[in-house]
Amino acid sequence: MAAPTACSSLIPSEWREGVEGAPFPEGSTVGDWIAMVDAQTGQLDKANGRTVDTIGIIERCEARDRATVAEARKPWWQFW
Amino acid sequence: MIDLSKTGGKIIALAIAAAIVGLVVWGGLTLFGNGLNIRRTATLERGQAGAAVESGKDAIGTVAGAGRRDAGIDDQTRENDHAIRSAEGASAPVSDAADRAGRDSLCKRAAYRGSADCVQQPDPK
Repeated sequence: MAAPTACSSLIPSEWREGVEGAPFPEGSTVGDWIAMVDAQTGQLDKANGRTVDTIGIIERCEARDRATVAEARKPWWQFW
Repeated sequence: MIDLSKTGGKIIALAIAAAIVGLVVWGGLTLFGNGLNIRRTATLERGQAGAAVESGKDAIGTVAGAGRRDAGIDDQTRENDHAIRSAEGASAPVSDAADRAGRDSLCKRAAYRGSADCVQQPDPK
């Protein structure tokens, strides 16, 4: 028997671990540190992207489930 | 037998007929209602199965898109790294104190909890 989708189960398990921080600077020069800051920002972009994706996956899943219930509840005489 | 020639008999006959009609109507409505419930349940189950398939496809597509996006971010990081290290002054040293303070600060962040860079401390100079 079908049941409503467990929407949160659609999120990859590895996404629950979060995004790793950028590696420490290789050396101790100005370039090493600035490059590390930039790499860290890239990791932030990945994390923010996953946040948006996760919310989107769950919201769309819940909307489909709501539409399914609404369709099943339509009166028998309502064909549209 | 009921004597229909008398008023009392007619009333009884009408009452019996009304009861029979009422039973038929009630039975019909009950069957109709049950049929509607069965149909509604079947519609719901079909809908839920379809919604689950669509949600699964949506999740797979979204995660695949995230993978492509992350690969693009990594490409940008490598490109930026090259540009930064190629810039004038990039090879200038940072003071030992500032370098140490920066690393110690990172190690206070949750993102680096348990990181090998934080667990292993350099030998004191």
